[in-house]
Amino acid sequence: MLSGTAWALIGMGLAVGLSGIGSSIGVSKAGQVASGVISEDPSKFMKCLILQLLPATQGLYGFVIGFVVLLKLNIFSGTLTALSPYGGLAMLGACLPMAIAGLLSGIYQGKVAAAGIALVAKRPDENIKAVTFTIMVETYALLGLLISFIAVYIPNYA
Amino acid sequence: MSVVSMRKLSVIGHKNDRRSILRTIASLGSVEIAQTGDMSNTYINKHLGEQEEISQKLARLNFAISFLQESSKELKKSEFSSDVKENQAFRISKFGKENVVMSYEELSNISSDEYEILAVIDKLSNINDELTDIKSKKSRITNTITQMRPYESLDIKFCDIKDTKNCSFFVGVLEKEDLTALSTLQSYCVVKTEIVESGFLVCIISHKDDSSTVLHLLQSNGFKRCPFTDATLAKVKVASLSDELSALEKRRHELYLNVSELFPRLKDFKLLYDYYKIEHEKISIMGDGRETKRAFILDAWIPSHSEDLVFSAIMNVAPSTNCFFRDPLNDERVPSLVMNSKLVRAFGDNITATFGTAEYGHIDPNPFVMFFYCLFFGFMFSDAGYGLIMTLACSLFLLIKKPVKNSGGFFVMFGLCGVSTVVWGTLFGGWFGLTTEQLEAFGLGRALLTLKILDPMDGTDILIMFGLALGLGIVQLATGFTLNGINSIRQKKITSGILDNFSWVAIFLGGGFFALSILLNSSAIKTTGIVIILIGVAMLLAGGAIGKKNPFAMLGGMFKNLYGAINVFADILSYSRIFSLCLTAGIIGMVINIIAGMMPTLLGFAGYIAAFVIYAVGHLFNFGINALGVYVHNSRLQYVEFFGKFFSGEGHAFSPLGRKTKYIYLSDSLTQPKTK
Repeated sequence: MLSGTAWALIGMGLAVGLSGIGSSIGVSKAGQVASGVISEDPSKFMKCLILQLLPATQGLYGFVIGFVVLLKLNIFSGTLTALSPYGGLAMLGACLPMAIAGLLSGIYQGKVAAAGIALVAKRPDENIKAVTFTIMVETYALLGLLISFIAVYIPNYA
Repeated sequence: MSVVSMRKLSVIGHKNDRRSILRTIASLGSVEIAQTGDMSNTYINKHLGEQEEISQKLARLNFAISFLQESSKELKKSEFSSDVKENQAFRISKFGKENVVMSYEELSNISSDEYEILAVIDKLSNINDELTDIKSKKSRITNTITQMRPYESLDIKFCDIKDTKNCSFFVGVLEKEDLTALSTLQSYCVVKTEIVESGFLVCIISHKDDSSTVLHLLQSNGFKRCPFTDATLAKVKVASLSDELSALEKRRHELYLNVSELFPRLKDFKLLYDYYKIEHEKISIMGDGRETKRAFILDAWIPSHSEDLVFSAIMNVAPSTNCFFRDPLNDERVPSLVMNSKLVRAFGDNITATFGTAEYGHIDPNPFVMFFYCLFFGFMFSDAGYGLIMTLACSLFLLIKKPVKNSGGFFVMFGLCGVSTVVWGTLFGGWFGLTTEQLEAFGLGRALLTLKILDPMDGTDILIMFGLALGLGIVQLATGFTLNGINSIRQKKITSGILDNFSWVAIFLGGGFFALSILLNSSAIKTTGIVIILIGVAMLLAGGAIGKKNPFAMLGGMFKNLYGAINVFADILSYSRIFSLCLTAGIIGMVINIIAGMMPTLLGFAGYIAAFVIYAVGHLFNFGINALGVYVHNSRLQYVEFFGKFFSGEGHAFSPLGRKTKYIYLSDSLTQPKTK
């Protein structure tokens, strides 16, 4: 049986890693479409860049949760707090909302962002509407962030 | 706070006065021309000739502006740097909208210079033609030089490369350096071989009987026979072509420098373009309007407070004209005009306008958008240090650039949001992501900490802040329901307006009392809260049942209204993003500080440099990504949760004649309105 601290660190790894993967896929999908649009009309760069950056935030949210886990484990004191296996598993569970929501919402938000960039290519003045459609997906990553944050930060996992 | 009330104006006047009336209307900037319906005994005169003439002038001006724009890109290249540096005129060029506001009369003065400006455009057009010609010549010469270069080492003229009575002479370039195929033949002789840039130069003499075999063998190795027949040596020809190329390049350089001298005329082109844009609009209006042999009819919308101004202006230029004013009819699509202060307008232009326009007769949402957008922005961004930088940067921009006529609204908006961020950041103790321990280490930090009342990293405060975010959301939703109720009452839908909207306001209010009773531990307040909630629920149910005769339809309507509560609660939960984004900005800032703080210990003196770079780049990144996140999520809360309650954005924005300019701003004479 792994020690509780190891479980907690696996949770941290999942939150940061999966959210990061979600964001990378999302940003790359949007970036590919954006490059196509820019090849036709470079003046749309800023509008496309804003849309491409939207799926990037899941990676940051995962990073925030990962950092909060490290704070809870007192990493900056130089020694990790020893958790019981149950405490560690509980912390891993607390990381999962962010990890799963970050991974999937990042990918799907990237698809909407790519469609939004195609919209901007045809109707540049409607970019704010494309942004609004895209951030609809992010709501669920934010909810994951909030629950993971409260679940990781507030309880005492000894 | 409402959309400005409008009046319909119908003008009937003599055709001789039509141009001066349109000119007056354009100068006022407070009249939108409306479509005139069919009328018996009238006809339409499209003025096609005049429209075509103005369109051609606009096309020429457009050419001149875009040609200068393309030339400016060319002139920025290094080859021009020394010449252009001395040409101050080029530096002041700007291709977007000019930061200039002027009256229509001042703009019209540009038409007196029209002939001279069009002559300058002709000059530009000639330069453009010559540049196109130079470009094609250069391309042709470069191509010829490339083809001729392999033969530079030949010491015979091209015209001398010809067959004799018994021999064939092959001069050309082979793709591969491979002559083994020729070794099977007896009667040939390789005169010269040389490796050149594009392959392998060969000169071969063969007996005429073998010439076709030699040619076939050479061609199978990618042989390209020399195509030139000039009576010169290749190197002489290449040198003369190179001279020609330099001369063309010199001429091109001169031409672009001539163009750079014309850059000061860019502003004239823009002014004349906008002048003719308005002229084109006027001619289109004349073309669409109804007229008789001597009279014309014109319908228009004007803000009611401008009625006297418009009437006296028309009477001044055409006293014999008849003007009729009336209120809009119920089935008419009336344009909406909102008049806000400069601060509110900044939010109206940048947030509300991207969603849509308020419908006529409805409440103007802009003051509410300004209040809630600022409030939420500060909470989400939550770092007073970042807020301070944002406000300072926006104020500096506004002070230095001095944007005219509301054109700097974006910076006004973010400047105000920065102020809100400073307030919220101070309450949350957010200063460039510094932790409480780091702030306690110096005097100013300790002073700032005395103002901190909530800590986003404290277990209890987290729940209070989460509740505060949802509470602020509930206040915004209640405002949305109230505004919708007022709009419905104005449209004479009094019962449904009150029951469907104020029921929710009552439920929220009751909920507020209930929450207060827990804080104050008062049973009286608790009972009051419950009673208000029950009244709200009863109103909601009544709202579903009212107006229906069938009991099943009544029940269905009541269920539908109750089911709608799920959406309202989903909307409330959506405001949790305010708290989530507040956490993200703070924690990433904190991580940057911790990592930067570790550098001196890890790397010694070099660590201080690394720490500085990490601070600067890290906070810049955190500022950028969070400002973008807060901007879009805050906009979403306005568009989806707030506007979803009361604002369709399907109005048609008031668009006065003569204000659709592309390059400059025109002053107008709209006075303060009476609201309806």
